[in-house]
Amino acid sequence: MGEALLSSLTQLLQPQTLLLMLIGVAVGFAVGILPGLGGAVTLALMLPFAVGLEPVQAFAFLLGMLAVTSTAGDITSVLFGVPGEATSAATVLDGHPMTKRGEAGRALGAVLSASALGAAFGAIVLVAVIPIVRPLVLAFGPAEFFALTILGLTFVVALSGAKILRGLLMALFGVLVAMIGIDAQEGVPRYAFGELYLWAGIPLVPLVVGLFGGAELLQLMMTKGSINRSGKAVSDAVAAGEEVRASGMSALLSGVRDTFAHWWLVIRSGAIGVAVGMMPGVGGSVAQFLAYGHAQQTSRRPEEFGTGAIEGVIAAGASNNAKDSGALVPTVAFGIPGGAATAVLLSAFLVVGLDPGPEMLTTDLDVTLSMAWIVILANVVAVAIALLTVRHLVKLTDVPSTYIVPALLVLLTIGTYTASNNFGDVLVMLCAAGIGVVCVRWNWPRVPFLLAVVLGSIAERYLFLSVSLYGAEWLTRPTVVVIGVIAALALLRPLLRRRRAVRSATTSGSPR
Amino acid sequence: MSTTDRTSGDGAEARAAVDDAVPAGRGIDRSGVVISATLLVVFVVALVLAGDWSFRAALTPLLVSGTGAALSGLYLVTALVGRRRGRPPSAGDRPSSGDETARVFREADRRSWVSALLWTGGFFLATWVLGLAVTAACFAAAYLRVQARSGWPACLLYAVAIGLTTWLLFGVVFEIALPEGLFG
Repeated sequence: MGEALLSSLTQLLQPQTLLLMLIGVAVGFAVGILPGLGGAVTLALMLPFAVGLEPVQAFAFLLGMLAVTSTAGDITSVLFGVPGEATSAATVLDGHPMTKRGEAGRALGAVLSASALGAAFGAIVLVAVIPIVRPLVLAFGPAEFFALTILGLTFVVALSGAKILRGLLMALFGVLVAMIGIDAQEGVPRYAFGELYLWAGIPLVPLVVGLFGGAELLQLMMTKGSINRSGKAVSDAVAAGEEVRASGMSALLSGVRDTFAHWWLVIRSGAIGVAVGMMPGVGGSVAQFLAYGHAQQTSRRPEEFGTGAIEGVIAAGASNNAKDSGALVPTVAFGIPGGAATAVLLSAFLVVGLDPGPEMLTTDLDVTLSMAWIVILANVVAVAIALLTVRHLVKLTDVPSTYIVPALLVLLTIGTYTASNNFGDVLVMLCAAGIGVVCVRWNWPRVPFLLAVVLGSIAERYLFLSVSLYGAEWLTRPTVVVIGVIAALALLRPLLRRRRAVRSATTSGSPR
Repeated sequence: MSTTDRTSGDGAEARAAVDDAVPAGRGIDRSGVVISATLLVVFVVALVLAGDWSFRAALTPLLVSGTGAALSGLYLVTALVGRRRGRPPSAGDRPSSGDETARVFREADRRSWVSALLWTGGFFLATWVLGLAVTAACFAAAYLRVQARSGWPACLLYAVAIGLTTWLLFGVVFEIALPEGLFG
C-alpha cells in the first residue's frame, strides 16, 4: 500500500499531469464561482478532453476540477448569499450574515481552510477504507456485481423524491439507449436502423455533454443578464470586496485560525461528509446541512447560528469537500456513483478504459490512490488561489451571460465532435440536450437515465456471465438475495413514507 | 445541478409527500401524458423490434422494453385520469423553487423559448454548413449585437477573439479535428 501511495504521488507529480491538474483546478474554480454552471455540467463539458489521456492524467484534470468547485462555490455563498453550487447552500446561512456585518474576510478564511482540511480528511478516509473494501469486492462474482449495478440504479431511482415512477421510466429508457449497437454476445445490430454510425452504440461523451450542457446553455440564453443578477447581491458583493480589501490578509488569516481552533468540529463535519458521500444517490447538499445541524446541536451558542456563527461556516465548509472523497468509494469500488457529478465521473472511467470494481483496488490501485492525492493537492492549490485572489473574484460574477453563450456553444461542439469526429455526435448531443431540457422543464430526473446508459451494457454483461456460470441459481446466492432485499426496500421506503404522510395529513385535515 | 438531479434525502421527499397529501383536483397532467405517451411508443417499438432477434440478443431489450411499456402505460393512464397522487395535476410540471434552471424555464415566455431555440439551431446549422471556426466568429458577432445590444467594436473584437481561439488553440495547437463544414 505504501509503495502504491508513493507511486501514485510520483505519477501525479509528473510535469504534464501536474499541469493538467492545475488547468482542471482553474476551470473548476471559475465554475464554482459562477452560479449556474454546476460541477456535473462542467465535468460533462470537459469529459471529451480526457479522451486519449493516461488514466492518472485524466483524473488529475477531471477530479481536480470537480474537487474545487465546492470550495469555490463557498466563496459566492459568503460574498453574495448566492451559492455557486447547490452543495454550498448551507454556507450561506452563517457566511453571508458575517459578510453583512463586515466579516467577509474572516468568513472566507474560515470556510476555505475548513474546505481544504475537510478534503484532506476525506482523502485519508478514502485511502484508509481500501483495505476494508478490497476483500469485500474481490469476494464478489458477476452475479453480485449485476445485483450491485441494479442496486445503484435503484438507489438513484428511489431518491428521485416522490416521482419514483418517473425515475424508473427514465432508467429503463436509459438501459434501452445502452442497448443500441452491436450486441456483444451474438453480434446482432440492435436498434441501429441500418445506420453504420449506430453500430458502435451511442457515444457516451456527446450524450453526457448534451444532457447536462444543453439545459444550462438555454438557461443562460434566456436569462441574458449577468450571472450576478440581483442588485442587492451586487451591493453586498461590493461591500464585501471593500471589506476584504480593507482588512486584507489579516482578516482571512483570522478565519484560518478559527478553523484550527475548531479542529474537532472540522473532523466531525468531515466524517459526516464522508459518510453521506458514501451513500449512493444521496445529494451533496444533505451532507452540508447535516453537518451544520450537528454543529448547531453541539455548539455552546446555538442561538447564534443563522446570524453569523463561525462554527456554522466551518462545519459547512469541512463537510462539503469531504463528501466528494466519500462519494469516490462506491464509485471506484462498485461502480455505483454517489450523485450526478460522480455519475459523470463514472463515464470518465470508461472513456480512459478503466472498469470500476475489483481492478481499481488491485491492478489499478495506483490510479485509485492518485485520486486521493488529487483531491488533497487540488484543494490546497484552490484555497491558496482563493486566499490570494479573493478581492478580485467579486468582479467575475458581473460577466454578462450573453458573452458566455458563444464560448459555451463552441465548447459544446468541440467536446461533442471530438468523440469520433463525426457530425452524428453533434446530433446525438442535440437529442440528449432535448431530453435534458424536457427533464428539467417538467421535472423528470436525468441522473437515472444517464446512470442507466452507463451501467446498462455492464449490467447486461454481468447478467449473461451470471446465467452462463450459475444458471438460474445465481438468483439464490446469499449476497444477491441480500442486495435484492436492500434494493426492494430502497424502492418501497419512499412509497411507504408517502403513504404515511398522506394518512397523517388526511387525519389532521379531517374535522374533529 | 438541477433539482431534478438532486437525489436528495434532505427532506424534499418528505415535503413532496406532504404536498401530495393535499387533495388533488381531478384533471389531466398534460406534460405527463405527452412524455409517457412518447415513452410508451418508444418502448412498444423497441419491444416489437426485439422480437426479431435471437433469444440471447433479445433477452435484455425484451425485459427492459416490456417493463417500460407496462410502466409508461400505467403512468399514462394515471396521468389521463388525473388521479396521480404525486401532486395536484397542474403542479406536476412545477419543479421546486430552488432550482434556477427549472425556474427560468418555467417563467420564460414563448418568445424567449423560440429565440433561444432559433439561435441554438442556427448555430449548429451554420456549423454544419460553414464549419466551426467561421460559425463561432459570425455567431458571436451576431449574438452580441442582437441579444446584448453591444456596440460593433465589442462585437467584432469578441468575434475575432473567439474565432481565432477556436482555430488556433483547438485546431492548430491541440490539433483537434473541428467540424469543417460542407465547403471545408
